[in-house]
Amino acid sequence: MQIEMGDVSQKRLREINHLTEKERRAALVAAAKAKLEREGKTLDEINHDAVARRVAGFTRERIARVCEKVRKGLTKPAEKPGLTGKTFVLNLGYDGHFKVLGELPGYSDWLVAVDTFSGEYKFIKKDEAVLR
Amino acid sequence: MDKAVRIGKLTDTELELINILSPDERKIALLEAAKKKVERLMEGKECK
Repeated sequence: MQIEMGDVSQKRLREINHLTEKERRAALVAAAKAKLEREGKTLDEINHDAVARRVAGFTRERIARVCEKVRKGLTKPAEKPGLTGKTFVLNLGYDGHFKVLGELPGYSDWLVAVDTFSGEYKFIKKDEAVLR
Repeated sequence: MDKAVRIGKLTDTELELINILSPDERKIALLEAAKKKVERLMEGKECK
């Protein structure tokens, strides 16, 4: 397997090539564990934050494209049996009632849902949705 | 331009961990490990 890393000069690349694949894996895993410790977070929390940041950065056009695809059933339905079509409540400082349209494409832990009152779309992590 | 390096086969957990690192963080981790390896090898040579 290969991983992408930032831009690096030929000289630096030669230095990295002195490491065996096992040593590279060990260095990367150690750096990742150190990052978790520095940030005081679990792997789940950091992954959630990363997806939340990416999702928050979606443009309105992208959200509209994703929702259209999900609505048309072009993406796979939510994995948990019976999740698609169900409504759930979110504590957003008010009682938010949502209907699940399906999984957020590319993010299997996330759902695309529509606010049954306002008609607005929301992307939400599966385990944060309290199903009714 | 970003470069790719081979790292062999990963377990799911290793992959999840490595994915939290940005490309620059990966580069720094690999360069530091390479530097430490060179230092270790140099120390070994001096001992002989």
